[in-house]
Amino acid sequence: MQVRLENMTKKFEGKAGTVVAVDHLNVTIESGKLIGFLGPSGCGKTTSLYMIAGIHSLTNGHIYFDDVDVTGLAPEKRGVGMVFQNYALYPHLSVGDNIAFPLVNSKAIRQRFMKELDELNQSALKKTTYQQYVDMQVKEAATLVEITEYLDRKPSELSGGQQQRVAIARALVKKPDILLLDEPLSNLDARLRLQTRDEIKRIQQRTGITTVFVTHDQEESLTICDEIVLMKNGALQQYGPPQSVFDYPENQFVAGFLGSPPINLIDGEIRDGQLFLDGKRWRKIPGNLENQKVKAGIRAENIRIAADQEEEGFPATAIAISKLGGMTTVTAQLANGSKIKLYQDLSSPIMVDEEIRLKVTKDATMLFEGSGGKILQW
Amino acid sequence: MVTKQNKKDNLSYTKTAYIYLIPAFTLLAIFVLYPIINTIITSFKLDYKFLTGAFTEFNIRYYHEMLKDPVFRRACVNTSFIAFVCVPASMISALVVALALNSIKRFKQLLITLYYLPQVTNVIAAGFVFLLIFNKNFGLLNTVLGWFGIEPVAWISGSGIAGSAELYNQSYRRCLFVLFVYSMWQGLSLKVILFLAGLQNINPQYYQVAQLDGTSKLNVFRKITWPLLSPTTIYIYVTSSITAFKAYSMVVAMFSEKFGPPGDNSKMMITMVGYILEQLGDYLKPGAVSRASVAAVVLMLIVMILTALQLGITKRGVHYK
Repeated sequence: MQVRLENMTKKFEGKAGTVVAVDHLNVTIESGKLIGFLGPSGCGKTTSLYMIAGIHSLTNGHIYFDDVDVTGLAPEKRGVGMVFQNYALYPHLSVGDNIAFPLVNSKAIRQRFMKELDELNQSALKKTTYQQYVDMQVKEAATLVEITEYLDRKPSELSGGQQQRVAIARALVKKPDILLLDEPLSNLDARLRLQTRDEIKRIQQRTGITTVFVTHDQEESLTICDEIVLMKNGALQQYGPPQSVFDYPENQFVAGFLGSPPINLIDGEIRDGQLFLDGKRWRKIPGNLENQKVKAGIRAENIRIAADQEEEGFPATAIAISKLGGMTTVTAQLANGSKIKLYQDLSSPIMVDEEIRLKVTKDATMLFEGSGGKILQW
Repeated sequence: MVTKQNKKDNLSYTKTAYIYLIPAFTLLAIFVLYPIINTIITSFKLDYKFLTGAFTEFNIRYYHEMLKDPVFRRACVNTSFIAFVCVPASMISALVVALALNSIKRFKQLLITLYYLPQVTNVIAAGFVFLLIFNKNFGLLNTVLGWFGIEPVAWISGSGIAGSAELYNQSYRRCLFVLFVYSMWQGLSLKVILFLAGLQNINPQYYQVAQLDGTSKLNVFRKITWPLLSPTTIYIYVTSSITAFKAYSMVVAMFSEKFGPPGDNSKMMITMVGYILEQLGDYLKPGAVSRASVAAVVLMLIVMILTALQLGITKRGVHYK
């Protein structure tokens, strides 16, 4: 199901005045995609999710599921399944009862499944009772998330990762059109997070359900999402496939938020069509840009060290070298003190305090104007 | 695996623990255990003289006599009424009030404070106010009933009951009603506060999940709130019914030390604890302390059995975190 957010706005009235949590958000999520809402704390990503779910009302704007306006629709009528950050599994019910809960206790869902069952029974020789049908559905959902052996246990007897899967099964059992996940990995330890991340991707691909995934972890969203919605202070910063957002950020915030280590940002200046870094002329820039102060952004992986004395490059001094597994990161310093991180090529090791010259690969230099917008990338 | 060394360590560890427990055990033994045992023994001593300790024989005659005593039966009925009618009724209303208070936003704190006020009010003073409310001639209740054209009712009166069983029963029913209202009012506040605390302990996301599924309010209460609140409910029920079995001051507050409305001499509103005190009466009289002990022992047994039953029955249905 396609989800279309049109000028979606949420304002909270507080003691300190009005807070705009989400500001005119316009996003169209194509059917069957896994979308990541990404941003720092307080950027409005969870609020957006709650509005799609119907838990929060909209101050302004509209939400469409396919062509149906669901803005004023009660949560239970939207057909969304949601997994909360701390899973919110009912502690007094077994895993099986937790998953069966919506099928047993919601009138609307019960009616829908009763109808399905009636159609099934018409052509079947052996009639199935509703209870048996519920058990079948629970089994099916549990099989999908691979927790069939724990159906009789209480949630407190499961690990965090298993609880997570139960929560996903409970959201999926009612066959929703849209699955919403609120920071689903934030309560897991690092290893489990990697594993569960792939698990979510697998489940999403198996079911083909349109999924919205909220996270503050850029790596999570870059690895599993089909598209990401990057937000800051309630406003959309950029929307697109993760790799293209990463490679072609529209502004300094996006460039800085994605990537680890963070993008190198160096103070520079455009003078007469030339880029000056550190007071020194570095490169000629394409096009006609006015003389102005800029920030030059270059990712660590796009910088290399000039191989020999013949090759031209921007002079710097290596001040620290740190090894992490197979990667060696070099911190280099320019004459004015700006620091740049880059990866070292293992074939030509360098030492601390060594004078080096830096080269940049094609299409990898971005220039940001004072307000943060990108003015050039080449 | 338990090795010999481990066992030895455990033993010396246990010994140390016992030494630490000695002071508390000593106090318990002197002030709780010894009095209980002594009360049980005393209850069997006939013509027991409190000051000299002399008695004629060891017998269960006082138990026999008490079970045949109509005043004792009356005490049992009245106490059961408080424990099994007033307590559940006030629990249900407390739960309703707590659910309402929990769902509102404005004036919440103010209302919670108002609901807690009875808890800090003196029982005797409050009893006096209730006497005024139920007064036949100028009481609040009769005034309100008067607006609907209802004749003044003598709520707390024993006039004319000596000769007429019908009048006696009518008077008794009215007194029970007064007692019911009073104990509801008095017990509500603490229960509301406890229920509120229990409700606020429930993760609000459980409700959001249920809301997304479209679970009806009734199902949310039945399937989520009620089971998750069960430890609070059981705690309130057990403590309130124990308190109910010890009820005394509220009866005295409204029906005086004669345990009945003016004109009654059958002690129609007496409770178990009231009965114990009645038996003690003139404690220098031979056998008085023994008779009081008999009543105390029976009360203790009833409370113990009921508490064990309540905890045993509810153990399976209660979800503790």
